[in-house]
Amino acid sequence: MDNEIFENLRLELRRGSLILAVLAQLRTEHYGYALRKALESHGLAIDENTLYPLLRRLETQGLLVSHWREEDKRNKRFYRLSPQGEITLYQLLNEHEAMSAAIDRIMAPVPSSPSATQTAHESAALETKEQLQ
Amino acid sequence: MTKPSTDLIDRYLQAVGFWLPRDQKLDILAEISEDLRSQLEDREAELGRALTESEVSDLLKQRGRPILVAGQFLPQRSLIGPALYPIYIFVLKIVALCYVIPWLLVWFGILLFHRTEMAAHLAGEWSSLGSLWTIVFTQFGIITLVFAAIDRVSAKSTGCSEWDPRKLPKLKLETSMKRRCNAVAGIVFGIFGLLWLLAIPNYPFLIIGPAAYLVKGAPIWQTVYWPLVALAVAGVFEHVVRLLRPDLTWFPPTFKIATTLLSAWIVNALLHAQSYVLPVNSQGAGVAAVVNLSIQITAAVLAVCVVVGLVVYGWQAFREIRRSMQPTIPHLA
Repeated sequence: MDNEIFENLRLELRRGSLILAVLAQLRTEHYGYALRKALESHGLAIDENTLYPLLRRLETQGLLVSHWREEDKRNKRFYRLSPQGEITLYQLLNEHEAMSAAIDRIMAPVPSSPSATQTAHESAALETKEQLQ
Repeated sequence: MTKPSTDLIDRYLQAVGFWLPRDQKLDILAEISEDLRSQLEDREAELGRALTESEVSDLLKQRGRPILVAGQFLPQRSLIGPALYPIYIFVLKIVALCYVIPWLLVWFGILLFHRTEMAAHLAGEWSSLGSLWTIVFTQFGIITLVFAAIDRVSAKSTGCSEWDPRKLPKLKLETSMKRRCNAVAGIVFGIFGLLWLLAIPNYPFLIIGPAAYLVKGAPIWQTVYWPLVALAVAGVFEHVVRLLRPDLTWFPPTFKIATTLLSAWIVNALLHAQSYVLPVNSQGAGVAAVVNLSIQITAAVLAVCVVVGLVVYGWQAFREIRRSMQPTIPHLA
């Protein structure tokens, strides 16, 4: 049961990160299998049944462009970031950094003095709120 | 001759293609095919030999069932989206509450209180129950279709996002003072009711007014009188407990189940009585007939109310007992 809850939460957490990783990797042109390998080499293995539908969705949303081209005597579909995708990637990266920094601050060791603890929490909460807005 | 790996992959792709939309089928299959063949080549390069049929089969197995693979490429389909779903469920509950549950309760009530005629009525009741389900499923279908249509239309408009939080209804808070006042009022009126009930045998005009000179109570009242007094005492006792122990939230519904069961017994006795009042003189015959008919109708209505009460209090008791077993949730500030 606990494991199932963790697995669901992990998938939720991973879903957004995968989009970011795919967009980031597609700053340079890749075809599906090569993209999968590239992501895997960076420590982010992605299932083909997740990757290809995701690529299509991102293309439908105008964040990617693709075309078929022959390479090594085989037709392959190459993807890369569209101009709109570049802007979105930049925005998402900023959002990701802000979230990550906020979580780091929340997880940082708390000072022992109660008043100091309260001040740190209040300031972190305020910053998080500002960043999320 | 076809390589076993190629044959298996082609068969796999064909199976996946069966579930794909026609306009995207070839494109998606070409991409899956390319990925599969790239993976196959990589694996063969690692091993330095061609893959066996069993190894290719394992690889395809790892990819997943064709229907599931194809399903990933299809748009997520839900008839009613998350924005409308709670309203949809709410409407279904209202329909169930206002139509299906009363219908079923009446049906069970008739079976319970007319046991002697059950066999004769059973065939007719079953056929009417069958028609109820037809109506229920039709209503369910119509409501679902209407909501699906609204969902499609509203998905294209922004109307749903425009709302004013200031127009939200005010919080409904039952203060402890209000609870106490209700309990005190219940005790006061309960005691008055009890005194009134105790006075009726000596002063019958208290219940039937001037007609008391024309009719008198039938023997059935001797049977149900003390259970009625017990009910009135129980009502006062319940309000006393509410006043003194408001924390026992499970008590009122649980206690009400017991009192409703007693009510059911009384109503059952009334329904099976031949008459409720008897004329004391020739002038009273007409009055007796009217009073008897009124009480008969009232008893039939009460029978339905008793069944409804049993279901409602049963549910409330179950909910409160379950809630009392769960850890306390702190109140929102």
